[in-house]
Order: sequence, then structure tokens, then C-alpha cells
Amino acid sequence: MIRATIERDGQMQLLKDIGANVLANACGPCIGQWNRPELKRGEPNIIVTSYNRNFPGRNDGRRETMNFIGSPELVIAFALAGRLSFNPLKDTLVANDGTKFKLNPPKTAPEIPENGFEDSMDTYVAPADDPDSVKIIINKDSNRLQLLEPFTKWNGKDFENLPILAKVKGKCTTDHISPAGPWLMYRGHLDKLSDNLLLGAVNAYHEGKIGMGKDMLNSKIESFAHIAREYKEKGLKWIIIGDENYGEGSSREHAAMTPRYLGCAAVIVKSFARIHETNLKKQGILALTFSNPLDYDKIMEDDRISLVNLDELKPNSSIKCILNHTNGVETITLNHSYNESQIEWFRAGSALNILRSNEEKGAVDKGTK
Amino acid sequence: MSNIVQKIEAENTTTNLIGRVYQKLQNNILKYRKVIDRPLTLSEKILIGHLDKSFYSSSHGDNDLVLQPSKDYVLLNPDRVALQDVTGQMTILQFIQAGLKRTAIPTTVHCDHLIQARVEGKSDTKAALYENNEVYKFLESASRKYGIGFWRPGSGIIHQVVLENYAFPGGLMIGTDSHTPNAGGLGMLAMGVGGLDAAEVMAGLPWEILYPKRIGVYLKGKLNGWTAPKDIILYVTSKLTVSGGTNAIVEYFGPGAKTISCTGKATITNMGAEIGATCSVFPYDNAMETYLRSTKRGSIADLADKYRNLLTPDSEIEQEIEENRDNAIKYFDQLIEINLSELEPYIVGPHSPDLGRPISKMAEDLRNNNYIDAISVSLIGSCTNSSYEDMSRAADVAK
Repeated sequence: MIRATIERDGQMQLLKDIGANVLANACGPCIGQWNRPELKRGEPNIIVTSYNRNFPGRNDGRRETMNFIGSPELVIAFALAGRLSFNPLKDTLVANDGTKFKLNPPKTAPEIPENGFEDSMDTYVAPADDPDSVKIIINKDSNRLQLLEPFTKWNGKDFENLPILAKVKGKCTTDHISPAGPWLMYRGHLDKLSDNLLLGAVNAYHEGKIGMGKDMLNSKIESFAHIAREYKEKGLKWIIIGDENYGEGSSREHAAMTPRYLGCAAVIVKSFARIHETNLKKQGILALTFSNPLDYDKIMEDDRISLVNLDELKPNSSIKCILNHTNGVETITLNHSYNESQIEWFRAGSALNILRSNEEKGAVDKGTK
Repeated sequence: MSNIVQKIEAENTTTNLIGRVYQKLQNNILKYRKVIDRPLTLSEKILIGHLDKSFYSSSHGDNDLVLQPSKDYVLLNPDRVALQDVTGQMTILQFIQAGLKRTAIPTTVHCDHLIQARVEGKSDTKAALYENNEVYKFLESASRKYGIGFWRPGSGIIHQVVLENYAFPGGLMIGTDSHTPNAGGLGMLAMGVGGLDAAEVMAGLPWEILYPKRIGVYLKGKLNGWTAPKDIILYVTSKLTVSGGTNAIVEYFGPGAKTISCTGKATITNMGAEIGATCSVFPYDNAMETYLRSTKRGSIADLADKYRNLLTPDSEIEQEIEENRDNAIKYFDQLIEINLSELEPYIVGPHSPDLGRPISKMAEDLRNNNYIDAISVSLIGSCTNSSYEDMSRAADVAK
């Protein structure tokens, strides 16, 4: 609607007149859906946007791109000046004919166009009148979509001697855990998507190594996804250790589903971001925090972690965590924020398992099964 | 058109739907006022207005009924669910696993995330249609089957489309996108959730949330010159940082709030996601009314006008805070005050949305940090800033 209206009212043309390129009516560069073939690999560069997120690699998949966010009017001013040190309130620009000029502040703009909004092409599809006849098609060999299999129920046992897949250092957003960009095409295919597990995460033990860690079975340094698949194949569950505000950013539950799918038993961090913590719980991964955040430093790369007395898990309880170092044993305490019903998610293997069994039970009760 | 009105009620925001919502708001707030002896903020009114009936049917002592932020878990009944084409896939796959025939509450799918920016709009959209064909077909067929409204690629960004068609003051919406809070610009509590939360709500379950804290932002004065609504949220983000809003609703109020356009308010609530806030909200006002009327929703504006008292905080709150800022603690965990007349344009970055400074300090910051000065690309748009007002201001600078 806005695109059609600003085409009609001239704002689009004004922007095109200063050389603007109009991209598709979609998110595009804001979420990493942006191809920049002209940019050399590893070349640091500055972009200014009126977007909302600027995490490394967010807009174009390149960590060296530095995104500065401002209002749209300020971004245009920067575009005209071509440099970040420009202050339109004070500085002058030089026109093609050499004269100096200052940009006037933009006038107060109407929120509603004088002639009302222009209706754009009709791209809305209403639900079917006869839903039963609609078939949902997912190709068996599809690499974009895959029907889900339920996650396994908890076997009632403690987690003993689990390896650490990754001890993540510093900021770890959902973009680090499950990057978007080229991976967006697999968001309907859990198995293929899982290859992006923790691709952006900084390894606390090998800081230069992003997205990679040590395989405890063969001591090789490989991508986290590769190691996790090895563990999964051997039926070995594993643990993620994290820092502050772990899982910051988006609501994508894929950041909880891919580790769950590849065998993550628990994520232990200094603190969680709200949405991600809930996603972990819902997908059946134990979401835990260090009672003492300094205990994060006690975790060694080759440790095997045990979480015991899990059958005693209840609201506000703490969990005993045994760190089996190569040269000794240490015990620390972990906390959690599960309430009664959330604990059921963990026991059932995921919240979806409970939903499905209630539906089935309801259908049986109603005699519709 | 009229003979399919009944059928399209299911996924649309109709006056019937809103009428029911406002009735429930009225009833629930009335009950709550019996146990709480102070004025109510807007966030509280909308939250309480959407409490699941189980809240009142279990046996509580009277004191238990007063909700404690960061402590109590509450079950809420959202009015709407919004999905985009990337997160929507997994949501629908999970919904299918649950085994239901139809969504229990109005739901829409918006195809905006899969289109990649390569060259320009038309050819990029065409390319996307070709490359993502099987995904769009899956989403469209599932939507048609399960009673979900479907917006094809090219319709625009989900949050703008939702604001133009589905959001309404006093409503509660969940969406599988972290910028769902954009709808707060229309006085709605709109929160980002994981796909499984959405699938459960689509299946008719209530939605559980830790009862949030409240951060009050008291706005006075009026934006002028280069300063834009975006700068308000950039300022708030720099002050609170990326985790400063966790488990909190940011509630804007004050005379300054009324001077901001509806879409400008949406820019502010949109980027509240960057401080980890549950969501952000503005009180219903003339700017929202105007926006509703200009987007063919005059009947919704009429309803909102009639029930204004449900869609705004109790007036004593602003009076008390204006008299003495210390009174804020009765209603908010934290209070931030901004004089819009003196606010400077802000720039945040790089690499984190909370690394901010006013433009007057940008050049100095550049030098101190050895940032590169030359700008490679400038980009405007996105869900945060693609309103008519934004484009007009940007075009004005270009002129």
C-alpha cells in the first residue's frame, strides 16, 4: 500500500532521482537477504540503515560490514554526504558546481496522504470454502520442507558424563546460533537447517575459531554441526555452555530445534534472553543457569558434565551439576525457571508431544477416532 | 462482497471480534479493580482483559488475585496470530503434527522474508517466486486448508500489512517474528513468540507468560527539525541496552506521545524488541483514530472512541507522576523521561543496537574508534521505518 502510494505521490521518484535503487517489497537486506557480489571477501565497510538490527553479518552475511542505524531522513543525509562524520545539522555539502550548501531539516510530513492511500495489487488469498478437499503437498525428496518427527520423551534418567559441544563466549544471539541469510531456505527442513548450528558462535577455548570446536571422540577441530552429527550418530547427548543474555534476538525456535534434533540435552548459561529460554524449554532441552555466574570459568574443554537427581526437578529447585575434569571432579549448582507445567514439557520430550497427545485423547473421548 | 463477509470473519479483524474483546476487557478490569486499590496502567488493562477464564475459576484468596510482575505466570487468550514465510513453515509443520482441522483463532501468513535483494524489486520478486515455489505452495495450501489468511510474496512486510489491516487498540496478538511489537503503535499488546507457542495458540490453547514488569517512558515536548520518532527508540535503546527490557512491557505516555503519528509510534514499539522487551505500547489517541479511518477501518475507530477508557492508562497516573516523579514507582519498575523538543538525532552501531550517541558526538566517536568514514551503501525501509511519513521525510531531504 505504501509503495503504491509513494509512487503516486512522487516520493519514490525523488528518491530515484538521487540514484536510489528500489528493492522488492520485502525484508531483504534487513535480515541478510542481500547479495553483494561487488564486495571483496573480508573487506571492512560501513553501511547506514534505518533498520533495527545490526549484529555482525546480519545484513549481508559479512561480519566486517559495520551497520550504523539512524532515522530514514538521517540515512538519506548520510547517503548524500557519503561519510559517517557528516552532521547535517552543522556541516555543509559541496554541489556539482562547487557551491557549498547546507541541508534543510525535513519538513513535518503527513502521516496520511492528502489523497488517501493507494490500493496495491491484490495479493491476498482467503481460506478455502471446502478445506477438506485441499491437499498439502510436501515432496518426499524435498530439500526445503520436511514433515516433523516428534522429539523423544525423556527416559527418566540423569544426564551422565556428557561432552560439551560448545562453550560460547560473549554475545550469542539467535543469529549466531541459527544464522539466517543463505540458511533461510532450509527453515522448513529441520535436518538440512541443522548444518548451521552455532555457526556464528565464538568458541571460548579457541577464540579465533567461530562456529568450530573440538570433537571429543577424535580430538579434531571441526564445525559444531559436524561434531554434533557425529555424537548423534553414536547416540551421545551433549551440552552447550553460554554467557550473558544467551539467545538474544529473534523468536526463531529453530535455534532450539536444531540443537534438540542433533542431541542437545541441556544449555547452561550465565543468563538467558526471554524468548529463547522459552523455546529451549518447549522443545525439550533443559534450560539452566549458573547459580554463581563465575562458575562459567570452571568449565574446561574436556569436561564431562553430569546433571543429577533430575526426577526431583520442581519449581525453584536447584540442580546439582558435576564437572568431571580430566584431573579431578568439582560440583556446582545450577538454577532454572521452570514452573509445574513447563516441567511436563521436559518430561514429555517437548510441549508439542503434550499437545498432540491431548488432541488424540480428546478425539478418542469424542469418539471421532 | 457482502455474501462472503461471514466466511472471511474467521481470519479478519471484524467489529464483532473487537466488540467481544472490549466486553471482556470491561468485565475483567471491573473484577480486578475490586482487589487492587490503585489506578491501572494501559499494559495492565490489556493483560488483565485477556486473562484466561481459568484465572478466575481456580480458588484464590483475594490477595492472590493481584498479579506480581516477574513472579506470577499468567495464561492469556490472544486475539490474533501473525506468521511470516520463514518462521511460518515450522509453525505450520508443528500445527499439522498437533492434528487439528482448523485454527481456533484468526491467523495470517505473510510472505516477506524469503525474497532476496539482488538487483531490484520486480525481478527479485519474480526470482523468489521461482526459487521458493514449493514453500509458497505449501504455505498457501496449508493456509487455505486450516482457515488462515495468506498474503502472497510482494504484499509487503508483515508488520506494515498487519498494522494496515489487522491490528487494533486494546488487542493482544502474538507473532512468530521478533518485531511483532510493531503493532503497539496502534495501542495493541503484540509479542514475538516461538513457532510452537504460536501453533499451540492456533490450536486453541491459552498462552502462558511470566507477568511482565513495566517500564514507563514519559514523553513531553514535540519532535522538531531532523529529529524523528526513530530517535526516541534509539535513545531508549542506548540507555537500557540490549537486555534492559527483558520481561518488561515499555509503556509510553504523556503529552509528547500524542504528538507522534501512528506509524511513528509503530517505529518506536517495533525497535523495542532490541532491548529484549516483551513488547511496547502507546495509549489510544487521535493519531491512531486518524490512521484507522484512513485505512478503511472507521467502524473500528468508532468502537475505540466509545471505549477509550479501556485503551488508555487511568488519568491519575500521569497527574501523579507529573506532580512528583517518585510516584512512578507505584506503577512502573523504572521511569525514563524524554523532552522531545530537545532530543537530538541518534546513531547506533556498529554491531549492536545499543551502542548509541547523538549526532553531535558522531564525528568524535568515529575518530576515537578509528571507524571508516566512507559509507558504502545506505539503506532505508524495513518494518521499522517504511511508513508514508518516513518516505516523505526521506524524499524531502533528497529534494
